[in-house]
Amino acid sequence: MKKKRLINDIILIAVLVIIPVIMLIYGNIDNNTESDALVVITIDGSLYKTLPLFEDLELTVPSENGINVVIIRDGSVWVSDADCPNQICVDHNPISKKGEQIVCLPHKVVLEIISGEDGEVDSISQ
Amino acid sequence: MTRKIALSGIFISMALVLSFFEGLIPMNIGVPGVKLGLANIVTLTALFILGPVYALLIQIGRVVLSALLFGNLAGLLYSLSGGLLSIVAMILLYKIKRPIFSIVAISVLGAIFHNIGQITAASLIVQDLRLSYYLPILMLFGAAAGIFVGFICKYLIKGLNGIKSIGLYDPESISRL
Repeated sequence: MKKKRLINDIILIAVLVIIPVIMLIYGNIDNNTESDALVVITIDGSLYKTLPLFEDLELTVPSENGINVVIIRDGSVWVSDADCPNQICVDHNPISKKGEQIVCLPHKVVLEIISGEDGEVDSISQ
Repeated sequence: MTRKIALSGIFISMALVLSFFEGLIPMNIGVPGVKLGLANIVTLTALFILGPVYALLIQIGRVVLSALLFGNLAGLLYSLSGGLLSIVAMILLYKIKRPIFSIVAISVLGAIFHNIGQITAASLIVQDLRLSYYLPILMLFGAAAGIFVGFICKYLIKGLNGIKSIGLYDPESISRL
């Protein structure tokens, strides 16, 4: 009887450890496609616009030295056109994950994907 | 009866001291809400020695008083929902006629339900389900803390059971220790 209970205990605790581990793994896979992710566009270090990642949009970012055409579609962001000399931003692969950036140095334009919860969650549970 | 009320008072005051003591231990691992749950030692011990009703009352008294003394009233809702869900889960497990789990497992489930209750209340109040992002981490720490607390209770109750005027609420439950 006592031995059986020990086995029950171990099974229960194992399940209770495995569930959060699965949730963590799943959460990390899913981490970058949070529906509240944002695209932050800055020009020369100052914030130009913050846009939701999951709302399709095409916009022209005007900076001092020229323009970048930014496309947001299906949770990915890329620069489709720019009148900068090196075209690095246009050649850059679309970004879709948190923390990824596209930088257009000649125009000092930076696109970055951030999670919507960054800086919003306080220490509520005590 | 009088003996039980007196013991309840002692248990609540011990739980308050443990809550206070726990606040002194820094727990900086980047996740809010992670704690040892030392006060649960008292609740679980009360469940085995005084029974479910007293344990429930002790839990409520403990949560309300520690919010008044050490915390703020805004935190009361979170800790109350966590505390109530936790004690209810532990009582249900305790009440199962054929005891399939030992006190350690009861403690672990209590700790995890405490986390679930808190996160649920926080998500409802803030209207932001993203808080559940913390749940898996809290569950892991809760399981570890629950094992720790469970073993403390096991030996504490064994010791208390040897004292003539205390004894177990349900003598059958000795087999769960």
